[in-house]
Amino acid sequence: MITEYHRPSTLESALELLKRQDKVILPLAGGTLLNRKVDSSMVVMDIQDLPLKDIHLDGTELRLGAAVTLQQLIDHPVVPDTLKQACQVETSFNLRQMSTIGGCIAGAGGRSTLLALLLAYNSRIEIQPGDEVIAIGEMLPVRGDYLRGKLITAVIMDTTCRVTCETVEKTPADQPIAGVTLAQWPSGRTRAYVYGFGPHPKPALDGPSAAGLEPAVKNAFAGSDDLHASSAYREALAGILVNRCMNKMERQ
Amino acid sequence: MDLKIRINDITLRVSTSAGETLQDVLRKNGYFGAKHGCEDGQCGACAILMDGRPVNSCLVLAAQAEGHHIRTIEGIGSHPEKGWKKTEGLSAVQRAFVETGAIQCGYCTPAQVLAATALLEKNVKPDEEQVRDALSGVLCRCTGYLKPVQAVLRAAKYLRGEEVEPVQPASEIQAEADVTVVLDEPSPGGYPETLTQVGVLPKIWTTAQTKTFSTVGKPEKKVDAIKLVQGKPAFAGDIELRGMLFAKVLHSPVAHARIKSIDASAARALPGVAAVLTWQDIPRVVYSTAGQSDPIPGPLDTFSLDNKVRFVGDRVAFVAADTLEIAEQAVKLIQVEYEVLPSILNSSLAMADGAIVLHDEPEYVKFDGSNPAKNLAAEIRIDIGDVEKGFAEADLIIEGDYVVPKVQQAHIEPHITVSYWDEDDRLVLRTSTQVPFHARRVLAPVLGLPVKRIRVIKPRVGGGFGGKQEILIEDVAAHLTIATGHPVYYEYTREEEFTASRSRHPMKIHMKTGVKKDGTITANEMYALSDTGAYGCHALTVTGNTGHKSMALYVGDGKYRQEPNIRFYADVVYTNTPPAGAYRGYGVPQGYWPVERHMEKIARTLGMDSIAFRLKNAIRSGELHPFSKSWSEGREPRPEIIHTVGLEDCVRQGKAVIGWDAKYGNPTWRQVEGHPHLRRGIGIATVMQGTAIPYLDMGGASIKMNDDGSFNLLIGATDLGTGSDTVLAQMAAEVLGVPVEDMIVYSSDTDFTPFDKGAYASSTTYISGTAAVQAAQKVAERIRARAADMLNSKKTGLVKAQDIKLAESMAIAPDGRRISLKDIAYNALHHENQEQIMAVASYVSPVSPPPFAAQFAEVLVDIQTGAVRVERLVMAVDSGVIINPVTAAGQIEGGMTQALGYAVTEEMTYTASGESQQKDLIDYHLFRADEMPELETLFIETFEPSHPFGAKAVAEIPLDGVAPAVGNAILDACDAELKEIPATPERVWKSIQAK
Repeated sequence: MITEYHRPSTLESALELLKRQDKVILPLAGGTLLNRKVDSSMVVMDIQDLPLKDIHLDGTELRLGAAVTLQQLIDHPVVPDTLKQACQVETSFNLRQMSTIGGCIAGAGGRSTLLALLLAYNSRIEIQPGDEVIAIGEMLPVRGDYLRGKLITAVIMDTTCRVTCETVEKTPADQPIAGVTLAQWPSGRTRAYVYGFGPHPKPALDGPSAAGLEPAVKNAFAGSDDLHASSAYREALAGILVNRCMNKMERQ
Repeated sequence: MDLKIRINDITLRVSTSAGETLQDVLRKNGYFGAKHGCEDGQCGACAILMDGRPVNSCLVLAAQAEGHHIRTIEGIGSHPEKGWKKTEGLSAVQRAFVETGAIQCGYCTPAQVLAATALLEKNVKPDEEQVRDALSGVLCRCTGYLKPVQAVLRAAKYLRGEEVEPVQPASEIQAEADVTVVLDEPSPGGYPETLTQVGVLPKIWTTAQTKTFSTVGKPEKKVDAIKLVQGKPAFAGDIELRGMLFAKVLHSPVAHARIKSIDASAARALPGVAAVLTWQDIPRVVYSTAGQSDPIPGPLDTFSLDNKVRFVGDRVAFVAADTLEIAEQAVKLIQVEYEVLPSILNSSLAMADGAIVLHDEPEYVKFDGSNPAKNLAAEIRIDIGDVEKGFAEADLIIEGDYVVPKVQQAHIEPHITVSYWDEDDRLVLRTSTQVPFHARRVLAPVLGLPVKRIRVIKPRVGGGFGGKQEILIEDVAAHLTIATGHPVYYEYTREEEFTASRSRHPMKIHMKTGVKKDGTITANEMYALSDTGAYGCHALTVTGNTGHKSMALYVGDGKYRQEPNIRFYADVVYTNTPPAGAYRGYGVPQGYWPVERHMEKIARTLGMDSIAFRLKNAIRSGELHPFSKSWSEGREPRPEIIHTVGLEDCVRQGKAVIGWDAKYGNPTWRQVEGHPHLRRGIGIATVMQGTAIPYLDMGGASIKMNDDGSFNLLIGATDLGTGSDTVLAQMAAEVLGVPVEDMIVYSSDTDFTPFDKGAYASSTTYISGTAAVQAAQKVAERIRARAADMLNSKKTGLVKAQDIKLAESMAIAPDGRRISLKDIAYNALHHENQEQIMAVASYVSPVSPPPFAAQFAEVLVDIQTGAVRVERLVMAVDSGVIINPVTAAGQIEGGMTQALGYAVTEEMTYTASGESQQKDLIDYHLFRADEMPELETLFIETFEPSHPFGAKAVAEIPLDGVAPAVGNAILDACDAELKEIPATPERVWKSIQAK
């Protein structure tokens, strides 16, 4: 349960609040994840008054304020279509009005297309205090501990790469039970993530080319048994999803 | 913390805690339009507008809302008639929702209206996709979203100032000639994007009799629509009482255990806790939670609290406290020592030698066939004809095994009860129930009260689908009110709905069918192993209906038609899983998955057209219901002839609309250009249901005439969103010759309304409707008599009462003289030979005339991944005469959507320790507005002679055919033989691999 609520109006006062030693302060953006009823007590810092809602394209770098909502991303002209589509399938219309890109990074699970896409893009996040910049993929395995006492202020995406994703769902609007996101840079560098299970998307490949992509994806699906699908099924999909991603990328 | 929140342009000052949600603050301050349906924002019933955007108030802290403008449904529109004060009336969106029949239970309606309002304030010309996206945040379990989408498109027209046509039948075809009608045939490339906009009403193949009615058969607006569209506090939870306590239940964390000890001292000592009850604190009374007529046709195997738990989620203790938070805290303080016992989670192991016995309590009361020593809640053995002889006469015996899952009703309004002592110290239960009268009767001994000291009030119900044909939580609130003397509010969370409620019985079914080479069925056999979970509520009757309805459809042909050979055996076993119970369709959807998949298999094996094979063997009008002499829900069976069977017409019309002949088995049509991994497929299932339970289901109605010629219609029938209040009012209005708005309907309250068995078994229009008609006929008789007296007193010519016609709110003599009903009412109440014109009637039927339907499905299968997209569902239904085409079509659309979930996605599963794997609406996905296939309803009317207006049931049959039609369509698409639903990508993929 939430025991304290704070709404700082400046970044400075927010950072001051984060220094508190007696309690762990959790930044509250839209609240679609954080405000679900939880047993442990929490102190929240509402970031709605902080200047974290900008979207701008600087050359090839897209910078998204952490408090930008998914609906704002969909509605903004500079946001790439792939990212818009990921926001669209991420959740329903009502939740998109409050869900933020920062909240997604901090809390989305293993069936999130948006998070998988951000990972494929090799997106980075800016974190305060300390003006830290870190790739989401580096932070993700330890995100709970890593983000404690910190505030994501922005997401930075390199738009020079081509990105695709392919998924399998039970129904069109259900979350994926298996998915692959694939990013490829002009240099040939290729990154792939698999998702549809687990606590967060899982890296499959980050290499100078797409060589070995299919076995890498298959390997990343290993051990993914859950209530939605078996690992054997997901592994069997590896080649299909990879081929579809590659074909789609060729058409881009 | 103190907050100022601007709500509907008024600033509200509230004192709240840091974690209190906006939804809680709104409801505490009387804004009841924000409903509770879940705790994680998935259902959207709590939506409000924040700065013009729809957001889910359960996920917004009240503190977050400060500085924003909040709009709730209470700030949108108002009743158009409020005395001398002029009102703005309903908003365009609200008006359109009412007109199109977009409101069924109305629980999610405020949220849908707000979402639509937000959309249209930004975009007054949205396309259908935009509308569906805007509604995607609000789950609706009743409508299938078709009519809400139509409502928003209609509202947009209003707002654009365009002319909007009244809702009228899109196409009515007189059923005179053998004509196949094709309307709105799809273009070769697919279906028009605007199919939703073609018309609000379904296509109806009418009977000749329908033409003579003035109100029956017309798309009358629902009588409760205006209050529901305004989000009025009409539901059980929309109430505040002084001193009200909040209840929580401690649920078992283990699947099977004896409770060795409970220490509730710490919980009781917690400030704010009013009571903690364990099994040691309340009387031990054995009962069944099933809401059925006396005697309950099943075992009595349940206690309010027991010293044994039988599933993860079973009850251990009840708590009442000043706040929900304190109650939750207290639950955690209760110390329980369990002696964990072995558990049975697999129904196939329940009857094994040496299996642990779930029900070893001495109080257990058996019902026909139950044997707790073998974990058998019910046993069914039905043999019709000579099945073995039939098999011996067959050219071919075809067998198959099929599996259907456990699924949840998932009504958006959870179970909720408010209990309190009234000023006469009678216990009042305001509860969301389908069975108020059964609840009163069943609870009386459990609570130690006589029936007469209990009053059950059923307000509006936010969906039930069978889940509320259960006396599930009323006893919790009642025990706590008895213990504390305080009003008690108890509402399930969404998690409790999954872990501690009821569900559809999962079954493993074996089919064996004998056929001649010419396609004649010589014998048909089904064995069902049905899993009732930890308690046997509805065990016998649900599973009995599995065979009773699905195995009755195919009797065979030739001599077998006269003397069919049918066997239905079932064992209904206990397992340590949450109990199954009633769920719309009541066992019949479980039967049709195997039967219709099996029929398809047989037809293909014989090389016959699968539709011709079905119709060759299907039951026909004038034939005996084959089960009617063998089984009747645990009561004495009596033979019954089926008089109306519109199945062939349903097939013919449905085929025409979906374009069957051009698609079925057509390899060219199956291909999807540019997508070699996709295959189209088309499938059919033919089905029949029942209409009420003969010689058992009884409903009553009371009608009273008012000064102005209007009438109070009091009914015990339970409208849970189906529109039954409206339909009953229509039928009574037809008899009385008044418009529906002159019928003031009230349902239901055990103190004020006549008995009704409740809303189940597709019986309300048929049983309660006949009662309403008969009460109206008695009132009409009194009106005619008085009118004759009044006319004859003027000595301008004598008129006989029986010659007077009631129409247009007048009593009209054959010579044209007329007296208004208002004048007659004044005469009766004030002027001469004063009397209250009123009447009561009740009805029980000797028959259960089945509705029939042909269900069609078109699918797109990804043959590489197994993913299935259902693209179109068409259902042609013979439900007799359709009393209200809008509400009836809504039943079909919503039912098909629930059945679609059963077909492709919904499934309740358990871990090895018996814990539910689906506890929310994320892991248990319900179809949203933005992912629906095209839905189309055709009504093929027959005139059922046993009903005054020729009606049969409509509510349950749409649950029956979707899954097998989808399964057969998958088979058509890619030859994948699916044995088990839901048709998840992995199951379909495996079936494709197994070819």
